[in-house]
Amino acid sequence: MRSPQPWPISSKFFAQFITVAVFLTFLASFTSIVAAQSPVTAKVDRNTITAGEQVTLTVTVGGDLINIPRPDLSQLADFRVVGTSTSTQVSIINGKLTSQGIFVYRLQPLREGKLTIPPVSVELGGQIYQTEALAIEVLAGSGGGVSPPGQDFPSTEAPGNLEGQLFVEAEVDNRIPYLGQQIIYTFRLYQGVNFIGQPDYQPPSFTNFWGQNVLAQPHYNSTADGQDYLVTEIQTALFPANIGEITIDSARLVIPGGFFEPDVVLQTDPLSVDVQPLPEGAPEDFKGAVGQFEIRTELSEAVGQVNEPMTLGIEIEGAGNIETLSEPPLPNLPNWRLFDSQVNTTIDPQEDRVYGTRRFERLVVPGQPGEYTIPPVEFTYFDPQADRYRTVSSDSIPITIRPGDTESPALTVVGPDQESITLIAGDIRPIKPVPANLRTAGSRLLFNPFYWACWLLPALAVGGTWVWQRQRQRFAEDVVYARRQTARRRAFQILNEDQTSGPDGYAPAHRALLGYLSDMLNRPTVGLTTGGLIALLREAELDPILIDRIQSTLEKIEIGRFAPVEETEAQALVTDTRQLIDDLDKQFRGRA
Amino acid sequence: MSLPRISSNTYSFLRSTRHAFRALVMSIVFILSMSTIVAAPVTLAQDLSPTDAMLVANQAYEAGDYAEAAAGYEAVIAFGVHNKDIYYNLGNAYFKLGDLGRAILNYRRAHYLDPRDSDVSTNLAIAQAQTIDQLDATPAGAWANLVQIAEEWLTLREATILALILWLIICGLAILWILLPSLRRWTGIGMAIMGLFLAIGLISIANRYYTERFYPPAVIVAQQVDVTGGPGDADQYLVEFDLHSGAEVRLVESRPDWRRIALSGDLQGWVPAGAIELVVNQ
Repeated sequence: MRSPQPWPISSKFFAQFITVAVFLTFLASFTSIVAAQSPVTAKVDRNTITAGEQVTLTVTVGGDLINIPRPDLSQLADFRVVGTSTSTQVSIINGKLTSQGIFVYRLQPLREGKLTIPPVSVELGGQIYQTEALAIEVLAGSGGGVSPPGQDFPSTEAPGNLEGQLFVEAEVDNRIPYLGQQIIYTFRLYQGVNFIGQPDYQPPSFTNFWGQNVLAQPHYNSTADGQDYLVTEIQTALFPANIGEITIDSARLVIPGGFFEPDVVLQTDPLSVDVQPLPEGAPEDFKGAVGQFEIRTELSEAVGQVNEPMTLGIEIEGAGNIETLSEPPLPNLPNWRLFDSQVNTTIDPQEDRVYGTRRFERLVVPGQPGEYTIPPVEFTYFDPQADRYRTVSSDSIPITIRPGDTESPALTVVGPDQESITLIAGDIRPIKPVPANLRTAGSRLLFNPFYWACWLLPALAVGGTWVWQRQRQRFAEDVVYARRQTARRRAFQILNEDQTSGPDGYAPAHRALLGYLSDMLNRPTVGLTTGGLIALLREAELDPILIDRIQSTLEKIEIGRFAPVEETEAQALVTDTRQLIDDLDKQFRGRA
Repeated sequence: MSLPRISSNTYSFLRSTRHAFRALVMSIVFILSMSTIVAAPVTLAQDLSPTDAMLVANQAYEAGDYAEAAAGYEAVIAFGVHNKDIYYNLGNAYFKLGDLGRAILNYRRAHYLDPRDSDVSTNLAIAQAQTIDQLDATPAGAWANLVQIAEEWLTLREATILALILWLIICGLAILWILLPSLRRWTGIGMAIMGLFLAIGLISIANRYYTERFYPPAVIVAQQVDVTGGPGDADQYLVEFDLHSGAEVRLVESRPDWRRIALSGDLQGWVPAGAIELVVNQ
């Protein structure tokens, strides 16, 4: 087994090394303490410029405040501030809030020579911090130096170790556009170092502007202050929608941080544009189009037919706010019917402007045959480059309209001297005069009970007729049935007739009762004794009570026929006989 | 100095002149009042009888003021008058205004009330020929054609009355068949023929009523409408096809703000409720 090797360094050398390390550590700590005690720093991008050039002053204010106070540049005497931009970065690491404000000033020297940027003071937490004064030498004449990229200053610089390596800026190409005139908002990212992750571009809200068409995102290299940058631009076309000063909010770029580092947020300064109203003297048909446009018209058919719809296409092509273009007024087309249009818009963002086509399609229907010419369609717009209103017009379109198929000449030759009638044009038939009775249509019959009663009554009539006819037929064919059906009626007839002919009611009662029983039993009863009749009734299984009543009645009749009785008794007998026949009839029919 | 006597001839002349002047003044007042009525038919229509309101609307139409005419006819219909002449004239006014959808809708309503009016049929055909969506509305099959012919000639009310008349004839023939056995052959043939017509008529009526009740006809009145696959707009459902003003459809289902429609050829979809109007209000 091998023994461990001793240190190859002597103890003296080790002591010297420790001494140097402790010294360096102390020095670094001292430096960081000094830096921590100076949260405000100022620097310029260069110390020597020529007259006419500008210098960039960057003031960085760090602290633990969310709202970073602005530096005081009131002591600045030899320079004029021609542009400013501000960015703020706030981060929370391990629960501790740190913030940093970066104020960038573009300074124009007021004279030549050795100038001084006086100390910049910032009040933080009730204490005033000042930077060191910075010396700038302004040489006479032009040339020399390196201009910062773009027209505006970098609006911010990345914090920490990205300081000066990453910054963004924004600008517009025209600060005093006309209402509706296209301007280009350019966002630039200056990238001196590479970073990992996809940055998130958060454009301004662009309130008071129409359209937000991104035109291009070019990349190119640039050098500023001796530093090489990869510049990425995002160009957005905007169309002012209101007159007056309009502020464009800050754009933000968020670069995602790593596992242990916060996101880096870069933010541009707000911009403002002063939107000018369009000049006076706009033509009557001007509807607000601003840019440069051309107009074309076309008809879907070269030869049409009456009442056959065709498509009239009106195409406006050019640079401007294509999506808001109104349809130009159409010329008067007598004998043509026009229907609402369908609109299609094609946007083709080009290098520095929004280019596109807006197409209006109308259905047009000719009402009469003949040779027509669709007149030119005019379109008026304001050309901001020429600073005047222009009117362009399309070409006229010749069109031949033939009679339609439904309106083809109707040939009605009646005689050799007569000519056929040629229908020149077809139109809808005219309106009707006021009718004599402007009645309201009635309700649906399907829900009317009377209507369905009208269906039921004939059916009942048919049924009744059928029953009646069947009854009549049976009477004719079935004698027994006929006698039974008429027995009661005939018995009552006998009782009524004989009662009116005389006071004696016994004989008719006898005939009526025996006749009824003969009809119902289908047996002759004349000549039968009372006993024989009773036997016959029992054979017919008649109710014994009724049989007793029959027997009693017949006995009364026998007595009455051969002995004098009161008239009232005779009447009572007739009544009893009628009641007896009724009761018998009920029993017979009940059995049937 | 005495006043000259006026002869009887002179007096009668003066009296006739005075009557003529009074008639002239009354005429001017009438014309002025009529012109005022024409200018604002909708507001005055509430004070006019339906007949007078239609007269005013007709005058506006003849004067070329189709918008006023349409408003006048709509006001008459708002009175509760459902007359085919009103709907026909209203269809004409909308046609002149270029509103094909409402023109066809009102022609259809007039056609529903009087299918045999050739003016209505002609103008309806002209308006249909100008629609963008040329739909094949001809139903297939002999039975469908028979139903269509019946619909082309009879209203539902007339068909129900005709069915009742056929029923009365059949019942009369049945009574004759019962009472007169010697004519039973002829009455039997008559009953068979009438019974066949009645059966076809009843089935046609039932079919028409069922269709109008459950699949009522409707017309697209929006200029263009996206027909989606569900009761929602293009953000929610796929747009299956487009329809344009004047397209004739059938209403299949109603939901709040959305209607499911069907076309010939199994095409179905959903449109906003305001995009269609029923030919016959339920």
